[in-house]
Amino acid sequence: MVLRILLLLIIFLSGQPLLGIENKECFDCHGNKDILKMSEEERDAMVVTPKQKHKPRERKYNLYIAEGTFNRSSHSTLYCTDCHISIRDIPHNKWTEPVSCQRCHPATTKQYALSNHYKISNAKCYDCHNPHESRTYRELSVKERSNICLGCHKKGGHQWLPERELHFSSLECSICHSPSAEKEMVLFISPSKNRRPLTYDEIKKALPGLKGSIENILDTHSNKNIDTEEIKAFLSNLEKGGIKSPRLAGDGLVTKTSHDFTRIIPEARDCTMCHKPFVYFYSKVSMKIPTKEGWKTFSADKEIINKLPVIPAKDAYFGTVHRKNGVECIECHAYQSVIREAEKFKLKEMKELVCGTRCHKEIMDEYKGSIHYKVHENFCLDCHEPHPSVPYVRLNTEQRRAICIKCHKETEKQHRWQAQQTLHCRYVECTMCHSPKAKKGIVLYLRGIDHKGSERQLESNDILELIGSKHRDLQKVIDRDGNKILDEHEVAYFIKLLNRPEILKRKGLDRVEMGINLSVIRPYHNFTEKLSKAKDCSLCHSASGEGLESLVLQIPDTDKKSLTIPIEKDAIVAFLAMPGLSNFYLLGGKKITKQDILLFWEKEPREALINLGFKMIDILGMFFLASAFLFVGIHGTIRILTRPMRKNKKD
Amino acid sequence: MSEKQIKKDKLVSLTIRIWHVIHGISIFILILTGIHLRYPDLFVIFGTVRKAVQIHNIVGIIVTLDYFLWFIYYIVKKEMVLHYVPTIYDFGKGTIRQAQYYFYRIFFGDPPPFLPTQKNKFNSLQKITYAGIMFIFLPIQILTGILLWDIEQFLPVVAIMGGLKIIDAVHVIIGYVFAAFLILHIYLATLGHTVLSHFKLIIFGYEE
Repeated sequence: MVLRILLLLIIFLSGQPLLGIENKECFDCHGNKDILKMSEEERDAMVVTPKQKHKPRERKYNLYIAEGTFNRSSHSTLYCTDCHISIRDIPHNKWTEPVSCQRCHPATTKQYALSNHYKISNAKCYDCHNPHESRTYRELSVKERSNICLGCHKKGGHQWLPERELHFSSLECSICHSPSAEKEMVLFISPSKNRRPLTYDEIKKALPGLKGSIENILDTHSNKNIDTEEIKAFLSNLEKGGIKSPRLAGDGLVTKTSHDFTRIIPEARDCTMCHKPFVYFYSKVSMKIPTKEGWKTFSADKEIINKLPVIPAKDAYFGTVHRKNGVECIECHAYQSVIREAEKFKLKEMKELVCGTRCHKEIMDEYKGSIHYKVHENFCLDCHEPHPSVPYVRLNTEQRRAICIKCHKETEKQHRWQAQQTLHCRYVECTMCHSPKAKKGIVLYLRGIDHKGSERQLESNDILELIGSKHRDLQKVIDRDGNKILDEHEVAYFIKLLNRPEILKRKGLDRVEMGINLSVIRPYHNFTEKLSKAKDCSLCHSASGEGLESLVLQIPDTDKKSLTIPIEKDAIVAFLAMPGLSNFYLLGGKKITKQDILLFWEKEPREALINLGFKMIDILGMFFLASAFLFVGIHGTIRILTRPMRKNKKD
Repeated sequence: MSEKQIKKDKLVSLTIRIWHVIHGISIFILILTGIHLRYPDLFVIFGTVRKAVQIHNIVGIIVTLDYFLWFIYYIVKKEMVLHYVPTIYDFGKGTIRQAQYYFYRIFFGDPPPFLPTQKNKFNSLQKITYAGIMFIFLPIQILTGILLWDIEQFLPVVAIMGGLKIIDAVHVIIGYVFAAFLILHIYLATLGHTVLSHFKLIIFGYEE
């Protein structure tokens, strides 16, 4: 064994081929393009044709090898016979054994042999890679890398992919199709239009005082690492130097390949694989900086990648109802043209909007019948922002009003007729009046108020934390008698539970109170009946009004459906005012009924009073009126009856 | 100048008669609009809630101004204490005598225990009632009405006074008090020596 190694070492050091055939000898024939023009007989005359029959190769092969290209390739240090091991003499046999890449690339070939790509296509290494021209993967541009795949996988696919050309120009195929590969984002500075790296000369022109290399100006901390602040300062300098809106662009490149392209890739169509604020996807982020001599690569902070203009509102998207319901980007953006304009994405040709054709069909049908649609031709996105979309239940009145006020700017002027205008505008959303068929109600919510007086709506997680258990069923905690409807006592007890000082202190709150909104519970998108009902105050200001159908406690949940528990309508007028609601009074709202009066006589006075709550004022008022009428009636009757007596006395 | 003429001028001045007419009509409208607003599903008196609110607000402002007219008039004339502040007599004997008259003696045709004069217009029960109305109930009603008129603006004051529910409850209860008072006031006005004599007094300024 030692002898063998010694022999190989001597041969290697002597610079001679193992079998004594120099590459030059091979290129004498294969480096000449004439070989392609020869007839088969002429070529047969140049090789040794064995007598026994040989199965011809299945694949086409190229007899011409450009010597110059080969000498620049990563295989240039090898002898031809290192791979073509069946050739021992020249002229060689007509039929040579296929080359086995496995001898040098055992791990890669083993990985590939197990892949479906191989099993299905039976493609060999050299069907994708030309070994006579191959360069190290690192040297290949995005286009060259993608061209490897495009040899078989013809263009025209990926119709679902938004901004298809941009993706193709900046990402190689295996960024998505080779999940196990290690990837790198290589950033460069590009002009605003014509996505390409700015050259050394262009940058130098913009920075006339440039002395030394660009890297010295860019890497101000001299730590061979580019961070966000450095980039910002550099871009700002370039802009001052006359380059219009310079920006950071990047190419996604594979740094360590993986030849297992066949795993089912659930992420392949998940845009958020790359478009997310924290980028685990790229193992490294680097920056390509032009120098006088060529390009130099620096490592860069991963933070920078977030500054890339990827998807607008991508950060907000992760918390949205769309994301939580599993709606992926392509489900809306597929087959649509998305253009990029001055770093801002603008959606074009959105008339055939997917909102109404895929998920929100019922709403679209409602909406399409409305004057709002017929007159303005507004579409979903004109009112609703789909990326930071949050469930309607989590929008407060102000946020809901903001949807309409985007277009209807002069609402204040138009609503001067309204009594308590400011109050209505603050607590009542537009669709309470302008969407008569929407389901509406008095919606109570819980608000945490800190010591500075600022408040926020509490969600179920906050509340479970306040009551000291994350695993309890919140509905059971609030609805203590389990009758699926709350009374004022249950609500008051629950508020008391939340206002324990030790817990409030831990959460940095001063107190927890009820908040109130007069809200649409189920929106209705046909706003066309507004003229008939919009100015009808009795929709809400009436005990039998259709405006406010229900009184509910609503607690939003970030992960699941919001908790909505109905509350007995009388609770709103209870003497035991729910904390935070002492200032809520709805003119014309809840008042005494015949049943209340009957119950009043049946119960103990104290109990009857508590039961009636503020409805008691009507009983008191009616007592005054009844007393007055009774006095007038009795007194007047006696006066009439005693009139003859007085007349007699007078006479 | 005849005796009738002297009585007319001295008992109810033109200013007070104008004030009373405006006040009476306004209170009546406020009660009606109040009923509409309290029971919009039962008593649709003014067409829409919106109209009822508008009328209630406008007439409320009129009553407020009218109240100040009344107040300033009596302060300037220095007759406020004379006519509207009950004395110990009024709370005691005066009330008893007047009550006896209303509840008993009137049926037998006895003469009233009190006859209005230039210096003493109201009997004891009237004095106590009017003092309660003009010094307690009406100011409270005006104040709560103003607070309810623009809730958003007056919210801090509303909060200090116990919240909107309390303010509203007080306003509504006093509204009922005024409605009951109006019934009694009109009925008791028929208890003059003729059914219409007190009405004539407040319209023409004199009573025969």
